[in-house]
Amino acid sequence: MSNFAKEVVEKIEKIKSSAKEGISLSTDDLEVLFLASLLEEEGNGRD
Amino acid sequence: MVVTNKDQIENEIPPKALKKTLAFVQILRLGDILQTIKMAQELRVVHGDKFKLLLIARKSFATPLRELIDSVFDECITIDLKDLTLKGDSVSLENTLKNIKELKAKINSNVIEVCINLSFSKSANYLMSLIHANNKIGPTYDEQANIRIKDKWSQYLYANVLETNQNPFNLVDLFKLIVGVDHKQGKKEKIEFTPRKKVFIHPFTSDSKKRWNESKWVEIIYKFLKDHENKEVFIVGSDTDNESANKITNNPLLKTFNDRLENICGKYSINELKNLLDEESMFIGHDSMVSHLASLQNVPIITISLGTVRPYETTPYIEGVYNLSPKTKCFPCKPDTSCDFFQCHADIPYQVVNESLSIISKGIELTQENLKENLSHFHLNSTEIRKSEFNSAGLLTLNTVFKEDMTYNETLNSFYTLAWTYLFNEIVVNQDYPKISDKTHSLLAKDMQGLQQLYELSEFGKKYSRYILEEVSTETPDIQKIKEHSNKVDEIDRLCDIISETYPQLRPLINFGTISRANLHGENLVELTESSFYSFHDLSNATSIIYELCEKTLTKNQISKSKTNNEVSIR
Repeated sequence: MSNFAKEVVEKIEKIKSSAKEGISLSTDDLEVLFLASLLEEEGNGRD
Repeated sequence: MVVTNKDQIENEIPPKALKKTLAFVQILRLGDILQTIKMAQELRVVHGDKFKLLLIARKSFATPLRELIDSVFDECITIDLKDLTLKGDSVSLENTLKNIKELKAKINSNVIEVCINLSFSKSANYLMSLIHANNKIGPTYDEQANIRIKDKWSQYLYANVLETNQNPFNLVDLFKLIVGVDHKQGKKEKIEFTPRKKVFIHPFTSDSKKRWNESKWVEIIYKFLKDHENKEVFIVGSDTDNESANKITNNPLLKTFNDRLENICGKYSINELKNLLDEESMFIGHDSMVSHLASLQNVPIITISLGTVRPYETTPYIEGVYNLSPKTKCFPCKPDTSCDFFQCHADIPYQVVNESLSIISKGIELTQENLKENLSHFHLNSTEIRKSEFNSAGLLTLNTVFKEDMTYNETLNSFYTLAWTYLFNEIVVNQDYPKISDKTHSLLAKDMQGLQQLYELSEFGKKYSRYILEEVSTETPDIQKIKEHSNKVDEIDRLCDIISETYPQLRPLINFGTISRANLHGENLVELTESSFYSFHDLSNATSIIYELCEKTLTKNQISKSKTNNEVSIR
């Protein structure tokens, strides 16, 4: 896994654990999730 | 110097009203952008230049369609994953997020009155949550990472498109209903049938389920060119389709037709291809972007729907398109349904396609009579042939070419059209009660039991929502009682799911109810419960409309049957 991918995965894990604690998503979190969804769709060939 | 009133008036610059910006998020494929363009064209017909139209699309799909996009949208902002990740000093999360912030700032530099999500994809939903707009329509994520959909038509689309095979609306119409374009005022384009010399074939799709293999197309092209000595065939597609296109054009069977058969895949831009579709041309192919392109040029179109394609949703938006689809039981399937046999591919014989192609290329419309001249029942039994037509409400619909009894699914689709348009927009669609077969009669009679149960459940939902409101309005609300009533409401949702399994054809109603109740409006218990009441009220109304339509259709069918029987016995 590249450094970039690792950074994205780590950030998503952080967002997930905050969400489990009931913490609302910040704009920064939504930006990361937007990026992750773009990466996911590109990977699935759904772009 | 004396300034006269006249000078003052002449020097004053009248204030210019700032155009409101409507932003559209469409980050899916080429075909989806073309359908969005169609919707925007209709919006322009009704409202002229009153609004600034902004399109947000993927760079890879927007770039080839740039000329068409610019002809209707004032601005197009593109998104590209490579740009977002690679622009800058290094590939890092920090850098990418900086680029996303720049993209966001570019979009938000527009004062957006309404932002409409027409993509229904995860990334589009997240993007919606990053855009500043006075109003948002369509799915968007909230701060708890829940998808929120406020408007009913988007809820409907989310609940039923691809989830069921009983959506009777074309996607362009759904986009128009979501945006609020008046269907009656829009332009109703119609195909003109005149003899066509050039046939453009697009035999490719993004998914193998949706396309025939090359050999079937070879058969069709062979027969067509053999029977029509003055006509030419062009295979169109992208660069990546060349291998498959060459398999067709290099087939030994087609060798003698080299001078009238050409592979032009990847040779022209989309705009150039659009311009090639002139008054001498017609189009035939599977569900793809090129069929929508052909509809922009008003040329005769035959589409062949296979696999997951839902013809009602994706038929090119123009009156006069002929759609061929298989009568296979499992058609249309879902994208995740595995299939090795492709029965639906076999259920459209090449003879039916050839006959349709031959008739239309002569400038003649398809009818029951001219199709039966050269085709037997064996050929026609497994294929549905429909023509696109605008109904009395201005919605594009597909009507069967054969004057026979309406199938069960078509009957239900016609009921759903009436119910949804009346429920959401109070649009009245004028249509006759369908002529049905005995089999459809008994299936509808069975459905009425399910509708009765669903109606009762939605009435219970209304009742328990009302009990909660009554309890809340007392001087000392009893939390325990509110919980009990709330549990009953949850139980109703579970019972609706059971009905959905017993009566899968009622899924559109149940799915919509579920999505509607997952998107209740309100900031407090009273507002949320009121919203829950109205959600059950909508379900109850839709159910009773369909129940009544079933009842009247069955009665009418019985009366006409007994009349026929009387006539026979008199003879």
